[in-house]
Amino acid sequence: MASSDLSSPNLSATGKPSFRLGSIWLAVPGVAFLLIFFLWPTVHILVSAVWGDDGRFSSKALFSVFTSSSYSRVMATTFTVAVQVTVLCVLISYPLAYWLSRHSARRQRLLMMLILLPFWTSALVKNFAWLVLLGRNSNFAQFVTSMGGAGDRLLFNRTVVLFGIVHTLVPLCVIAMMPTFNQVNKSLLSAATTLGASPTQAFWRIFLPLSMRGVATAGLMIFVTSLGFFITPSLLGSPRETMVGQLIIEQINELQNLQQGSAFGVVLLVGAIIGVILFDRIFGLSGVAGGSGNSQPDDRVRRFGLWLCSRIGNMLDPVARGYRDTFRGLPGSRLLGAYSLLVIALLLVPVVAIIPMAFTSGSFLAFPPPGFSLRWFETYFASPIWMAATARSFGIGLACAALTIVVAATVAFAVVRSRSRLAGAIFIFFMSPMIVPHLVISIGLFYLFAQMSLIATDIGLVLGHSVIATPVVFIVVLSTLRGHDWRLDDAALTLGATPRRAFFRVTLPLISGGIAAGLITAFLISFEELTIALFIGGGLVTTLPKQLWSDIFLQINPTLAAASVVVLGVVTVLFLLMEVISYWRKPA
Amino acid sequence: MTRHMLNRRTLLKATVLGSGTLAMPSILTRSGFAAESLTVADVGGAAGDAIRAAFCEPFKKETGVQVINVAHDPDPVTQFKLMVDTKTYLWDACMMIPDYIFRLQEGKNYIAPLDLKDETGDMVPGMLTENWLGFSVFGILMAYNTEKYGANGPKNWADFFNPEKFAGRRGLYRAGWGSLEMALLADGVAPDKLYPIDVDRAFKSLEKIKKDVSVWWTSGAHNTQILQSGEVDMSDTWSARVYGAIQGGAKLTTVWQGLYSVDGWAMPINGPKQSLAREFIRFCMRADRQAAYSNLVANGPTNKKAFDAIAPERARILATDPANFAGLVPLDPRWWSQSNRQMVKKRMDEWLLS
Repeated sequence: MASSDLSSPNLSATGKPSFRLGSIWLAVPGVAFLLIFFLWPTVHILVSAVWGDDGRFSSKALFSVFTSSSYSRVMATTFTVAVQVTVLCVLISYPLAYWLSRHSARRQRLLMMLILLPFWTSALVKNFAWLVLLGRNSNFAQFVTSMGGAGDRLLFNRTVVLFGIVHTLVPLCVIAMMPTFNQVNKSLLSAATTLGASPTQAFWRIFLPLSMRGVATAGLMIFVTSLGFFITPSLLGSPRETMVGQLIIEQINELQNLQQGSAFGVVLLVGAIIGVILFDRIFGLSGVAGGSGNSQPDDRVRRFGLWLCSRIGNMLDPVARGYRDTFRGLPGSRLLGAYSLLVIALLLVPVVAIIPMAFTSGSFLAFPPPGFSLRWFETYFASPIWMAATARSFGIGLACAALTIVVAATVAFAVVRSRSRLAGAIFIFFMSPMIVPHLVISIGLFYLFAQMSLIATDIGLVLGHSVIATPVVFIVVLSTLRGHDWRLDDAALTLGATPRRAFFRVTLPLISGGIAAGLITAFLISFEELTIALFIGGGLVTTLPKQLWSDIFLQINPTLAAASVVVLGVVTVLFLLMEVISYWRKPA
Repeated sequence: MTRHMLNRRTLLKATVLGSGTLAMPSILTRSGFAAESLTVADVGGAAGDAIRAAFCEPFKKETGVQVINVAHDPDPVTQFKLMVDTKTYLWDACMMIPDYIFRLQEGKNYIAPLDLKDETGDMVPGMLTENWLGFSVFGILMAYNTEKYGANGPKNWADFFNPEKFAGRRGLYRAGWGSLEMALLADGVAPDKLYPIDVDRAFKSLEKIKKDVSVWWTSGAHNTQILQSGEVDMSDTWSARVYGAIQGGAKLTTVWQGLYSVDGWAMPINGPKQSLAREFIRFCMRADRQAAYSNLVANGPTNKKAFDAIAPERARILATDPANFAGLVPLDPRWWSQSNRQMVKKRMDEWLLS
């Protein structure tokens, strides 16, 4: 926030004006992409919320969301859970991201890989793993019971649903925070200390305010993403934890009631858009046009925030001092490290548990497994269907990451650099695919792709996955660009660089962290996506999540765990290979 | 909806013209399938493997036509409708229960006529209709944990609905499909008097065990997992599922009282490969093929002659075994129409959330 604070619009006059004025045009290809592959197909489905089967206008379905006691209750649960998840995720992730940002780039990559590992395991497998690990006959439940707790009541309640969702989203939260945290100029902290601030004060008055953009980005993303969860509440929750995503799937996919399903979709969409606008008002994420003055959050809000931070900093300072004096051997940084490692360990629990489950000799997911065998790996490797699905998932993930980063980054660049009033509208528009239930997007795309003969093709899947990945990548890149010090570009331009040269030599290297985070998130989202594969793939073009889904008609068998373990292995090896290569090319 | 969709389609066409070039590479992908091939959609998982081994591969051996079987969603009706509405015939035949067939004919008809006759007279009556061939009979019944109850487990649905007599955690299907019938059986309704379902009475009966149902399961795998891991002591379930769990070593046993339904083939209306698909479905009527299928998945055949090739101990675990079948009545797809399903769903949600 502060860096863009400093880059006053006057400075831009030194750059080439045509560069600035034209930047909104950069958004055209990306906007066209979403208009064709998202807005058009989706609107045609969502209008059925008010257009019944008979082609007449009716607001009955829409009203029933509010008038029916059970529906309004589910709506309330959904938004409450989303808010709770957001708060928990941000609180848990912040210290972890802060701790990470103090490590070298290479260390960060390694730790980030560990944090992202659970993301590579299908949501389906992870949730079933929780059913096994926390079930009433599990070791953990027995342990809880022996400690005097209700070990047989660990599942099917609000707490475990929150736990499941937070566990899924913390890696996403951390990856969204990291670019901003890394951009905070560390010399500002030492400057503060030199000027007499204690480390506590430096954190609260310098680091925290500067990192708020990352927090806001992450919070927004978590809030909107958690609104759409359905596997976790339906497997781990009781009926009281029903979330609206479940209702939408039931209505559209099981009851063929497109009208009621779309009505839920519309209400969810409106609620989420209100959330996005509120967020934008408070944190100024979109950087709406009109120079940096307007692009900042409401001045009063900001001043209040800064005042609050410094107050807390001053208040906590004696506490920290007292702590340091009392526990001499245990500095706060060590405590932070221990906390961070604990969170990472917790994140890895299902991953670590899935490995022995895959080597089981039994025919069910069980922990601990009854015996050792390789039979499920044999099944996996012997099946051309599983092999093809795995290969396709990797291929489509790469293609989707490439396409999405182009779409999202050009638009993010346009939004940040442009002073056009359109920038704010584009921001909201680019957030919207995150809010519309994937099922609605999938069915809309089916109609569109049927016209283009893209059903059951890899290209269809790549396009569909890109639509879904675009908002997340967009917001990650956007928050990086917002934190970028554009005066450096101006300096390059003043020194005679062409805009192109300035972009490739100055801007790109500095924002590469955000671009990399964007690529990884796009790949991960594509790798995990199920609904698009279900509808657009039609069973003929099968990705790994679709194959996992198809395989569980009768039971969850350990082939799913074996597949997850193979994917984890491949990803880890690829990562280490890349590290080794970069080590040889550029010895640290 | 149809008219509305048509408008939508013409509108879509206009936007799509410009992106025509994008469609080019897809032609390459789609034409990858040989001319003489069929695509059929089944329920996937173990049943999909069995269909491949018992029907698809032998069909290729005899006719040279390759049949690719793919898995569809647990409820394929939406996908099926999309396919027909957009004339994107991904599947030449689809595995469905009579409920789905019925729902795909409510209003607009989505199912092609089958035009097959029971030439040998070996089919169980009702398993071959004008547009559907049933080949996989399954029971909707009760399973309970033998470690918990030993030999003195619940004997019928009245016991299941009696938590004083049989304490323990229960699982029930959240959709109400089947579980309402069980609630009525427990309340003393005669099996042949289940339909039309007295919904008020069913919910009154469910009220008795509301606090004892700890899991309202939502999918097949969910159901198997909670039974197998002992998360619940008893639950409603499907025959092939619980048999799979027992085979895997789970301490479970079945109570053959409840309903049965049948999975079978149907073709999308106006599909391009109907005559070929019809030949494949005719092939699936054969006794030897059905026996091969029932030997792989614990679902019963619909060709009476198939039992000649099924070992007696295998036949005993199938829903079609006379001893098992006596306790089952057919699930009535006509009652579970669109409007009734919607009504039950809404009522169930209100009841569960209150």
